[in-house]
Amino acid sequence: MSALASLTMRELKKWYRRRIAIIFTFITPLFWLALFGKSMNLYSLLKIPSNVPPQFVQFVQQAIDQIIIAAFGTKDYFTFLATGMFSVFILFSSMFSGMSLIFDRRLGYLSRLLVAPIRRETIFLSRVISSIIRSLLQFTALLIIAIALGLQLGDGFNIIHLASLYATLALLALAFSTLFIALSLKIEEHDTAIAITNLLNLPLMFASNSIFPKNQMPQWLQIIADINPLTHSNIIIRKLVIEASLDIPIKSLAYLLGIAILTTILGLYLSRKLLKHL
Amino acid sequence: MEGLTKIYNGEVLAVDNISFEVYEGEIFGFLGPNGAGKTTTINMLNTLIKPTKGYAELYGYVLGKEDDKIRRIIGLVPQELTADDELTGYENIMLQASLYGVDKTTAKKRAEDLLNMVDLYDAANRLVKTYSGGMRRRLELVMGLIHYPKILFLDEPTLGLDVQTRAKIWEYIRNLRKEYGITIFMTTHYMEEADQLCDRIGIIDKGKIIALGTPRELKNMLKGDIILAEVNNLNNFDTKELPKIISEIKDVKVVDGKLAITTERGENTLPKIINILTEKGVNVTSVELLKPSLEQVFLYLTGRKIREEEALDSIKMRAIMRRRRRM
Ligand SMILES: Nc1ncnc2c1ncn2[C@@H]1O[C@H](COP(=O)(O)OP(=O)(O)OP(=O)(O)O)[C@@H](O)[C@H]1O
Ligand SMILES: [Mg+2]
Repeated sequence: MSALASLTMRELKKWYRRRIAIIFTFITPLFWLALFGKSMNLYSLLKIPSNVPPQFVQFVQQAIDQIIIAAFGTKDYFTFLATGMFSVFILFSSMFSGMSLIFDRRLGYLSRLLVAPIRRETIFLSRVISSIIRSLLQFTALLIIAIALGLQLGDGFNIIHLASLYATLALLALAFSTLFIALSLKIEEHDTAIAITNLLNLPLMFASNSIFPKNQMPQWLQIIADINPLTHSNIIIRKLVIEASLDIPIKSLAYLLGIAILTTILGLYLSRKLLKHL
Repeated sequence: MEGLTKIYNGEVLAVDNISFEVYEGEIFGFLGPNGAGKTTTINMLNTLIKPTKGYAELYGYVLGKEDDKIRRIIGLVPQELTADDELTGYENIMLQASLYGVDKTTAKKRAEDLLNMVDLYDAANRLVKTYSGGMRRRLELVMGLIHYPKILFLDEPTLGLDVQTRAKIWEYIRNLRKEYGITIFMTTHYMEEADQLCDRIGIIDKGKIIALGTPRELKNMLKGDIILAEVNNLNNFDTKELPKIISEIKDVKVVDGKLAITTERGENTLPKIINILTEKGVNVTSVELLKPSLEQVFLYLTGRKIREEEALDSIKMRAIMRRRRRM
């Protein structure tokens, strides 16, 4: 096996052996899905009052439907939130991908890797690849749970949509994991890394269309949401899942791709530079 | 290596301008107290940290220029236990092999040999977490050897091991050199380890090499053997007389009511000394002959470095006392 493959396997093995810890990865997104997604069902909040004349009920209902669909793309807020949570979940599961590097530095394993005749990028890439694989496997579990809880897939959702969904999430996972691992290259304390991730995770989630549609936001927040990769992956994912359409906005796809390429190049460059010596 | 220097963070001078040569196929021992700069030197030579200044060459490859080539020919057994404790011993070894491009079949065979050699075969499939300190250290050794390096850096390879295991590892290290012609660069705290195992020894203190040579050469630096004699009613005897009567005696001191006599050929002078003392009415209750050891060389050298010339002998003696009490 090549050094890259065996180092990737090392990460995955250790992850698999810490099964208990994996459960915790699901807590936050599940919390959002089950509690928020189910209780904030806007459609049932907007029930037609009983004093509306019967002959208008149909029109009012249509109006409500159109307002909600215009805002959320679906009548079901749970489906809207769940599809938004997919990307957030990838963010959360990539966020700590740099942790293994920090622990390896602490425990001296990194020294072993640094004196070995391997490319410095290999050390970086093994974490990136394992993080993406981990994220997608965990996502599969989340997807099944979301469907069980009532996520409504668009009519005609098929294997191509599913594959595109995974590809989009893989791209997002690449962007986030390269970013967070690159940030961990020279960090010695895991507290520092936790502080950085805590600083980034909630703002990233709220300053996106994950929970609320972007057009409901104040102007300044919309500008932030527009540069947030979560917003763009959400746009693509909702197109694929809710509408079962492959008509993906090129702008969002290009943006996501651009970010992922940029962070990957940055990570490779920094790992070559910063992992030359201890 | 020439003028190798490491200054940490621009302030801690850990290794100060050291120059020496390690010959192909020898076991070279680096001896020094805590914080002397042994690990720092090893880590500069194995490319882990960047020297602040200086030049070094390993098998013709220039440090800092051909690091990747150097990495291919060296093995490292670090001072800390750094195997991944969430993997099994065997997984650690195979992973290590793949880092060096050793193919799986070869790695398997070597792993089996090495594991047997260090008596770890039965525990190979257990998680390293469950290993004892000694088992972990032996695993580190296997990991450092799996790619059959030309130069092996051993940073305190027997730290914390029991006597039997230590002896076994010595035997193994000797074997390695004999069979594969591996050059071994090791550091140690254990004087007898350096003495018995190493072809040549460098003594390092405060980042400087203060002595370099074979164990025999180093021990010859001492003026001779030391005789310790426990005596009564010394009052009416002038110790200065002894060197005048027996020419081999170089020095006589009274430490804690004991006579400490530095002499050549102690086994010959010892009976004479006892005779003379008895003649002069001094009652000798016990004697001890100490042959020069590296421990004494080390104290002799570092003692002089740390304090003034004067303090040397009492430091030396106190250390001898300590050693005696332990015996
Ligand atoms: N990363 C570091 N940053 C700052 N100072 C350091 C660092 N590593 C070592 N030192 C200092 O450099 C000096 C030499 O340390 P080194 O680890 O090389 O000693 P050593 O001879 O290996 O000691 P020991 O026998 O305890 O292992 C010490 O004073 C130590 O405090
Ligand atoms: Mg050390």
